[in-house]
Amino acid sequence: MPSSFTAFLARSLVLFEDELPVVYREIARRVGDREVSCAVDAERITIRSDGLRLRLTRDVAAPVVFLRTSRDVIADLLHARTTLAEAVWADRILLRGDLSDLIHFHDGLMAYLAGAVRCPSFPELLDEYLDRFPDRAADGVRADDSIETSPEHLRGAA
Amino acid sequence: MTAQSLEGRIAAAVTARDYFRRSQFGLTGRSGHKEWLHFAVYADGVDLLVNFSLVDDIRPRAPRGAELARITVLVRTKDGWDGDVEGFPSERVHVRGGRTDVSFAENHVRFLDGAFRIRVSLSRRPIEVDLALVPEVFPSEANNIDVEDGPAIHWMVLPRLSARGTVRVGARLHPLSNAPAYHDHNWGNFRWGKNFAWEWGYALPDDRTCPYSVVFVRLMDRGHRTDLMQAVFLWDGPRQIRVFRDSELRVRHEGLLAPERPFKLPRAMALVAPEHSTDVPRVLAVEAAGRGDTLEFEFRAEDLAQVVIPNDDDLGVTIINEVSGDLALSGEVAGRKLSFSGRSICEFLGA
Repeated sequence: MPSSFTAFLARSLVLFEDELPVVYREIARRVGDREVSCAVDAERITIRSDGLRLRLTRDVAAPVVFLRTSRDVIADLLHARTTLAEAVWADRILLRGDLSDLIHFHDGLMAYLAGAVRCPSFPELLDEYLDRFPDRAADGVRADDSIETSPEHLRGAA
Repeated sequence: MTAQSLEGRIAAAVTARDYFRRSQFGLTGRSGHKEWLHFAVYADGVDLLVNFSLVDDIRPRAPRGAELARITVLVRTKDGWDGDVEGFPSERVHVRGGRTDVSFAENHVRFLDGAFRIRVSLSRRPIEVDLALVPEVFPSEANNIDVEDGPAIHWMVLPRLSARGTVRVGARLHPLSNAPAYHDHNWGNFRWGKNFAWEWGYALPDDRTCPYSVVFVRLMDRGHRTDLMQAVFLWDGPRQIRVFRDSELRVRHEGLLAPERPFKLPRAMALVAPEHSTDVPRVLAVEAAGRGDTLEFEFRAEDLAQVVIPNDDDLGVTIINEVSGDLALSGEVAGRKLSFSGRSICEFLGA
């Protein structure tokens, strides 16, 4: 499967930084100085925050939160077929970490979602990921990328 | 229809009041304008809400004068709630200040030959609306309704229309004929999340020969602790005959509506507002009295759907609870006793 989640996540952060800088900074502030490891289907990506900026990378240094889920679950959440709490209780979202780190991640996720619902360009990006992406390659980001994938990197590719 | 006929005079009054005021953002740089046309229809087997809205794009890097156009559709059938919120790019939006007509892509509202023609086809949900709504009463306009920490809200209300046409939900086509309908038009430079909330509702008699129509509105601070204004508007036939205001009203809430799982639009907003609990009363009771007139009604809430709107100045949300239920009303105005019962939609704005 192509690295569609990575492209989606990276482009969404570029959007936030461009269109909703306050939200972008709030996500970073809430996540704090932490590293989060995300696995969506067969794809892995690391979100690294220093409390001011967010970077995506394939390198794993010292993640304190581990998240595993699937594109189907993301689609179900966005279409309100399930809730975050239900998905966690049903083990459709697996989360691991210390409570304090999980709370910071959750707060950052809520800020991310608050940005998503305020960003007029976001629905199109989401459509590409959920609906159309399987039929085409991700522009500029592939599963076997070994280079760091940051919003700055993607800004040129997008 | 002639200009002198009742229908012609009502149409002329609608044309004179129900036009897009439009934003000054592009001209003066004053941003924050919000404006929408709101329609609600009650018919056998289907309740419908359609809202065409146009708001300033207040993101810091949005071009001056940029706007966001959206259509919100909510339907309730025996299968439950459905609907969606769709956005439209500016090049597909056609609206002119001073005119009622608005088109978002192939969807439109037009006021033509004394009737609102509404056509909506959602792209992501199997819902199509093709209706003509004929106003049966003269509109009422309420300007400069102050809220505590922002510019005033303006409102034009047309509580009684007759709807005909079709509403398709999934494979089922609902034909409408002489179905009761409601319309209002709101505009202003208010910002979601500021210190205001409202309760609002309308009631039309089940018996379509009954001449009365009622609208209730109450504006409060966001904590629901202070009333800023409240009023009950009563029409007898085409004309508004009485407005009960402020201290003439007593408003009482009983219980709380506790839906098992509220339907939320846009659906993704359930992620940022996942709560199932609401602050919507199970019963809203209003007593009005003044100058020898009395009116009282009780709205019993049955079910609700929530339209969840991101706040403009913080990361919170404002929840608009669209609540369907039954209303029973009685009173005596200008020496005439009146009473009726009917279905109603009330709206409760919550934090």
